[in-house]
Amino acid sequence: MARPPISTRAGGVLHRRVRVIRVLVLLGVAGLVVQLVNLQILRAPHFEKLSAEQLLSTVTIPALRGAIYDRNGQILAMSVPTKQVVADDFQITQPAAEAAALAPLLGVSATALAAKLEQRGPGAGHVVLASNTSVANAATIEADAFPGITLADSSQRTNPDGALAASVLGGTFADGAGSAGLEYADQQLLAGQDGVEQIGQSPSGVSLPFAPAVISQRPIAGTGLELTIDAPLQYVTEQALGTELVDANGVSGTAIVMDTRTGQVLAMASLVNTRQPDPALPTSQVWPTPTGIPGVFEAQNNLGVTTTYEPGSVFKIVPFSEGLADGVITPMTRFAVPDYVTIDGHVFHDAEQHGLEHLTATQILEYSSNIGTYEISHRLGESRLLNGVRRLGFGQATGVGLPGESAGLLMDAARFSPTDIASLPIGQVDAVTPLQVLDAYNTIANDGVFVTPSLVRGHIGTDGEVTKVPAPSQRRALAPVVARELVRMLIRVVAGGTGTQAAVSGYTIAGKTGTAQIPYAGRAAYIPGAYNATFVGFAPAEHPVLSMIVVIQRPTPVIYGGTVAAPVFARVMGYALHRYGVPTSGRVVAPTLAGGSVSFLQDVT
Amino acid sequence: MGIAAGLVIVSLLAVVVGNMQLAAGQLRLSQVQAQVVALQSSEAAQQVQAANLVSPAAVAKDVRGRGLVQPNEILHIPAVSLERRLAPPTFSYAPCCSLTPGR
Repeated sequence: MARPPISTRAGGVLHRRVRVIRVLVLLGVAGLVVQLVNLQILRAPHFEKLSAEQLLSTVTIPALRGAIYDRNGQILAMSVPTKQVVADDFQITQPAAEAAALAPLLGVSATALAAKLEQRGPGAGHVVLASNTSVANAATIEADAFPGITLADSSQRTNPDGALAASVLGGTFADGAGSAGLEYADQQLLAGQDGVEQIGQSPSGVSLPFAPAVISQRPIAGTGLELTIDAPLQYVTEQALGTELVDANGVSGTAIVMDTRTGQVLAMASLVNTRQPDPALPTSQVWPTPTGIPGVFEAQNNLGVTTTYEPGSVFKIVPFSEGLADGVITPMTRFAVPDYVTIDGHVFHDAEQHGLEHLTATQILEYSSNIGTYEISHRLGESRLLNGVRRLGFGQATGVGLPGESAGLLMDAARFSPTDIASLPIGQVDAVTPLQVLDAYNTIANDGVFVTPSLVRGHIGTDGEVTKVPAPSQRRALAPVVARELVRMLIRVVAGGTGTQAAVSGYTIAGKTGTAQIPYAGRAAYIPGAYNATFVGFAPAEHPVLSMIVVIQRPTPVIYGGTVAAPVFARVMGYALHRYGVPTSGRVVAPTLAGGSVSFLQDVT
Repeated sequence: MGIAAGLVIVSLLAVVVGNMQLAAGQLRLSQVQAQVVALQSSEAAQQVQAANLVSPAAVAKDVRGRGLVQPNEILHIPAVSLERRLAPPTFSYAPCCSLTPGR
């Protein structure tokens, strides 16, 4: 058998090998196709996600915070859009040159800027050069395309009126969130809704120059607030209170003006005198912006709602309103009033020594007799007295909408001691806030109707549309006839009693003075020589439109509410009545409710 | 075959031109958006400036600078009812010169 030639055998082997290689290549290509389908189609979303995570970063676009306006549309707080300038240090090759070019645009010295740009090593890389650069300057920086410099949206909160109403408005933290006052209380409304955008960045987190930013959610600007505050009246109130604070050497003071019918707060000042004579006395934290009066600053906490104090004689309306309501007294009911009484071993006395006086209920209030008030309370009894306290709104937060509002501290029936029947009605037991005291007197001015005070009267949408806030709630606290009798009695206080310095030419004023001792913290004793001076009242007494309280803490050496606080009331109320065009009362004549005269004219409880 | 190739080339060119238009539009849009942001910022800054000028403290400072002072007391004129009849005024004619006609 002849063997095939060598070339033919070799050709067969070659063919087999080629076939095998072809099959292998085909298998390889098929494998690649399968992997291609797997990568490009089946697992594509997964890899797209991984890629996006490496290349894109989700950045929050801060929403522009809503502005705060006064009742006339005057801006009290506003956010101006700005840019944050950030440097990625390792992209910067010529720090000195870039610092020199950026310095005038950022308002920072070139040396300080160069030091920031030259930072290297751990912790460096992302350096904020300026937090609030104007958009115009930022546009110049962007146009000049400085390597390694990127811009981010930001905003700057501004108060054009400086410190005006700072204790009402509050402030914001560096991140823009409200830290105190209405800025804190209405944070959710003011803040708006932040937007979201995707920006290109390297795996190490550095923004890629010229990488397109994709906004997935646009920011929604915050809602603005239209306050009930009247900026000019607020200014006059602060100036009058601050001046008196300095003159009377007071530690701090608060003054609130309210629209009697609506409960809208027109002015609310809380000031601290940092130059008070005794530096050892405790003071409140203050906002750094000056008020224009040397040494006087806005308190950081709103003293009108956050601080409680024993109100002293202004609390006497509790037994009087309850006595009139229950028919226990009339304005003409006479009492034999000695200058002191002893109860359970404790001596209670009037502010000044006097003989046995025969006073009507009206005269007791007019001259702020502590012993006379005790006699009325004695007739009322404990239960009715405690009811009267609650009836006028004490012991519950007013609902004005400011953070940190205190409900006050009240005596209850379980702990009522025999001496409380004398000390509670003269304002030496319960601790209340100045706004609660004002509310109680406003109830009398408002024909016996208690109105919840308010500070915000409208919400301003991003389109500028104003939505009125619903009117605050009201409730009847006193019968109209009781309220009117109390008004007639309170007119006497200003016409010829302890509050004559609260008089405003041309108008009938009704009000009450209070000079209250300040207790030690945690001790059942009073600090010698330490008093809170108060005047609270309303005008015109015939048809009240404005109510106001002034409290000055620790005045010295003159301590009386009628001497220290009442003049502030007169100055501010005179301005306010004139500003709002309130018709004058004609010839001011105090109602003749009681005859006789008394020999004491101050009210210290 | 030539027509088909031509159609493909024309279509590709149309896509390229369309893309260019789109890119130019996007650029213009982002420029306009930047302008809007700048104008909004400028408006807000001007509002703040205006509020600064009319703030009670600024007005009071300006007024004091012009030498005006607060009165110690505001004297309010007592209100008078509109129904109250006022007494007729009493007056006499003021002495006057003799007028020369025509001059």
